[in-house]
Amino acid sequence: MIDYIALSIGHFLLAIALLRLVMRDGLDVDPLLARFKASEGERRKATKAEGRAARRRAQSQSQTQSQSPAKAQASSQAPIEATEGAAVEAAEGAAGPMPEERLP
Amino acid sequence: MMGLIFLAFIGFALLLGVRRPFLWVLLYVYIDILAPQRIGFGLIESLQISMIAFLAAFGGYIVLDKKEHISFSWRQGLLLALLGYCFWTTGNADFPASAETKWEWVWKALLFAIFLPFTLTTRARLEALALTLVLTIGMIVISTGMKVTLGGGGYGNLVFFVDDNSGIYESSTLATVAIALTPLIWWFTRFGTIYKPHWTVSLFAVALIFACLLIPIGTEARTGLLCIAALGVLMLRYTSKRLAFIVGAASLGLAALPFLPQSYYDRMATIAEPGGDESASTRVAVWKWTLDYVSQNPFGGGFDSYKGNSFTYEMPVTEESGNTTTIERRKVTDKARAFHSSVFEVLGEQGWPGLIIWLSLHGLGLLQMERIGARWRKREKAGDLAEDEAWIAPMATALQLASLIYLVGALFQGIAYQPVMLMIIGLQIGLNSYCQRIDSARARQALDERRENRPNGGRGGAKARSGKAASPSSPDPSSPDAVTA
Repeated sequence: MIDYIALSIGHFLLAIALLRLVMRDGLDVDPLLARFKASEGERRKATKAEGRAARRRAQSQSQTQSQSPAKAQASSQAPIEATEGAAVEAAEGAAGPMPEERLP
Repeated sequence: MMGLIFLAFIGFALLLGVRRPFLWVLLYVYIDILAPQRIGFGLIESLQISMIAFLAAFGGYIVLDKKEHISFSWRQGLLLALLGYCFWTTGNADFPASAETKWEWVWKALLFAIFLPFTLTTRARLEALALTLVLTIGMIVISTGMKVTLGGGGYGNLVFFVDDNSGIYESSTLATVAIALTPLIWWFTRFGTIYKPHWTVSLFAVALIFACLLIPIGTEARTGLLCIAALGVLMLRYTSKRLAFIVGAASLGLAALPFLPQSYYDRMATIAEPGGDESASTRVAVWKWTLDYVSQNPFGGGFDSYKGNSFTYEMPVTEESGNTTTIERRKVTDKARAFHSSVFEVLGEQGWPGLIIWLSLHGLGLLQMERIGARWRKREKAGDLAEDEAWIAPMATALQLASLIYLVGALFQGIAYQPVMLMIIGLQIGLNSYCQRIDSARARQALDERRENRPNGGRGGAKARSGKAASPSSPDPSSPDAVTA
């Protein structure tokens, strides 16, 4: 009788535990590690966006400096932002993806 | 009837495992510990349920389960080395037939301990394994505890589910394992998520711990008493109110004394006088024999090499005639006495190489659990701990205490390859791997934050690579950023 009681208690609790485990999302994918992974992904996205913006600024500066004085004189009439935007677009079109895209 | 209930439960677990193959791992743990095929009658006896669960656990993992973050730890390497070495010594054993019999279950236990950490990739899985261990052993403990409370018990008199004095159903082994699991049982009252902390969970845990403490009393296993003493001493380290703990434990012990039978006092008295009992007397003689044996066979004699021992020693024999009791010291010749110590068991069977592997396996486990406990406690004090990381340090402590109590018990009984303790090792390795993954995720996070906090947003490195003149804030080449780039 005692054995039956002990076995019943144990099996009942184990069966409920198994049922709860089957319905649990965190059994196969750990929520804590998934959170770390998600925030890491977001940080990388943000870093890439920042990198692209910084690169655009750097390239537009260098292209502005290398332009001929006459062209520079002509273009100096136009808003600086427009020049930078065109230069970046041209550079992106010619060079394709930036090296930083491949950073981890 | 009982057999059918077991079969229904096993079928239920197999069915649920189709959706979550990890449950088959838990099913194997349950079958390997409880051995329902040896408890029930009828169909369950003829079915190879242990083999079915073993194949389901491995097959389910290989075919159906996600295999992310697989790493092979040093301790798994040690287990593998021990498995390989045991295989070699079995082939060169002094008693091949006997060695083969032991090898048949040892290799499964070692292989499962190597495999287990691969499946323990999440907190839920670590907890599920711990809960399965606790509840499965709990069934044996609850039954034994109830029998002791209702007046049963006595050395060799207590009847378990399986009455063959083997595996977990050997009284001293059960006492050691039950006491070793008590810190883990308590862990569930604070950090459980399958059964969340609730007064009913606490009540069940207290009752189960009480039943665990009754096992050494009911079985009159001396090793169990030593394990309780070890648990008490070890608990002092983690108790803030030490004096209150000592006074409380002593009061509880004193209050329990009047309820203990005389046979218990008589048996415990032999701890201090090993010469007064055959079981205790032979231990010392077997240990001496083992040391002599390995001096000639340093690579061990394979499983059950103790069968070659024979020695003569003196022990007191009490004779009663009428009102007169005479104690006479007689020479007793004993043959094929078991090692009565895991240390000497491994030494005699696997020689010095095996002992070094076995000790390293346990020593590394203690160190790893200590390191995890210390690191996460430090983070908790520094306030740098996510809410769902609070369980890690207490679990590491519980597993470390389990190992220490097991090692105390293992000094006096041959349980070096005890499957439950090998599963605890698997749990420790799983926890360590899980913590390493958290550590590396944190390290990556810290690295990214350092990059973001730089004055130029960490892009100096890109400038340097693109051949432009580095700005004053460009990163130090020795910085992690430079290394990563």
